Amino acid sequence: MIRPSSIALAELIAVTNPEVHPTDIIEGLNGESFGMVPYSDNYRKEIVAVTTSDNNEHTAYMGASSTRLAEIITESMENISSFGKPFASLLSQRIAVVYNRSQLSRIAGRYFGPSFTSLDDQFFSSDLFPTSFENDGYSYDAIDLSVLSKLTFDYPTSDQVTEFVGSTYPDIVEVLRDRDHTASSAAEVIGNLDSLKSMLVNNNNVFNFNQLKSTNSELLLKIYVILTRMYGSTAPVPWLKQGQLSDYREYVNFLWKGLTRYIIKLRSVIKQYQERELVLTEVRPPRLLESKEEHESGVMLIDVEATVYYTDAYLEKVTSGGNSITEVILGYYWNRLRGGNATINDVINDPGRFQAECGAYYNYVHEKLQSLGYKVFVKMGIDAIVEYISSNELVAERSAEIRGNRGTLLKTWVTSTFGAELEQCYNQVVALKVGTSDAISSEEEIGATLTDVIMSSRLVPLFLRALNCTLAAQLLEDTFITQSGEDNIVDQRQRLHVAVINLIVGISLE
Amino acid sequence: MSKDKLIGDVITIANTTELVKNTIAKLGLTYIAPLEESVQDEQISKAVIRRIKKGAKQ
Repeated sequence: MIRPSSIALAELIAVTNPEVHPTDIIEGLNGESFGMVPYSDNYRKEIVAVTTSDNNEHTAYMGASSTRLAEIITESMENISSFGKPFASLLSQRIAVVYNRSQLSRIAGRYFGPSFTSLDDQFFSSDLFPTSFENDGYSYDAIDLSVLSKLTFDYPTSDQVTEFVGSTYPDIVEVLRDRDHTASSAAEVIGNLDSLKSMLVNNNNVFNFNQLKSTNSELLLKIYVILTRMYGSTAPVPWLKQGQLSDYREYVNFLWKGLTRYIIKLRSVIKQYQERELVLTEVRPPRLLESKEEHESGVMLIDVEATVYYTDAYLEKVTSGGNSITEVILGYYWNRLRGGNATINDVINDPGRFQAECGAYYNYVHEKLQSLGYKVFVKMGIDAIVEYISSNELVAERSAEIRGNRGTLLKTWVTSTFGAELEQCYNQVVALKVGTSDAISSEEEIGATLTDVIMSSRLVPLFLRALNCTLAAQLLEDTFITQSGEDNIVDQRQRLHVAVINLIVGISLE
Repeated sequence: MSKDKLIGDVITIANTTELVKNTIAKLGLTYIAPLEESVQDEQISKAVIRRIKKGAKQ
């Protein structure tokens, strides 16, 4: 049926716009809109009567046409969900790595993994620390612990470990209490070569107990207490699952004696260090190492594995000046690696100077990463589009059909089709990252916001058009791409409604 | 403009309007992205005029 309101609306347009050209779909409806006799001057009422009479073809034709159009538009919306959104999501994940200032300290400190040990830690004055060891003829600088591979342990609970140690002595009960490390995790270290390697200097399975590595006093003391009980007990630990008793004895004997030496050495070193405010020990010499991340090519980062021993008084001195001990140490290494002659005494006397050195390091990294930004963004974007097309069978087929006609390689086609739009999108992303770096802290949040930016760029419509999803592209453009900075869901829904109107009118009139 | 031409154009535009409204109803847009009827009519009117003018230029 044609309602009087539609006729009124049509008449207003028709009197001032004479060039009306219907497409086939409207021609079909027009063909069912005339009666047996020509319309008179009373045509408004006559049109309504003709198109609303019982069993008229107009109603059937209108029903079929609108159903088919609704199917086509639904399919276009599904194309946005099936291809457009996953495309935008993958693209946002890949380009989220593109640098923004909130990532600076994380990137600058990527290869700087110091462990911090307070020289005033009460553990170092514990009565449980051994003070002497039995000289059994071994030097304990090359003890092979491969025998551990013949033993298998279950994972005990902390209660099982405490029960095994079986002590009511308050200091031991306190040591075994779960804090940063559980008694269970300490027992797990004893039965695991890889865990031991992370704590002790080693060459494969050969351990050097005379050289210090881990200064994790809490964990070391837990291990030592459990191991002492293992050494003194006639029966193996209840969580020994498999292995010969002789192998177990050999292992426990070497590890306990080695660890006894290790923590005696640690304590004596700590005692010496306690007389100074700050001590740095390096497992290997510091260096400037080029970032291993592809998108940070050419950026040199401080690479050092060090232990920082500090007194509580020094920490107070650093933080009371508004400085960070980590950044002060970074500044010290930046000075040294750039040919400076700073000494640790300088760091003790003037932490503020090295906080400023750290600022210089951050500025260097920031400027290098910023200069790489655009190039990295476009490369990441192109790689992500190629990846998306290659990983989706249907999309790959459609893209191959289009390229097949021109004989173009996928990456070349992607570069020529999307390169210019990626440049536009980069400007939007930079604006987003610069504008929101304080508010957005996690990469997940940046990723989610980036998806919105990409959905509101012309990249997704361009992608949909490239796959011949033209109606979907138009719907998306009309709904999500706005010229104004402000946007909200209500406005988006209204624009969707208007986009659909435009789409149907475009199909109806030439 | 002759009366027949005017009636023909009115029928074309009225059918387009009805097709828009019927399709939008079938899509459920009146629930998920509602527009007031007067606003909807205004948007249809704008879309039709834009399309006619675009067609005239081609």
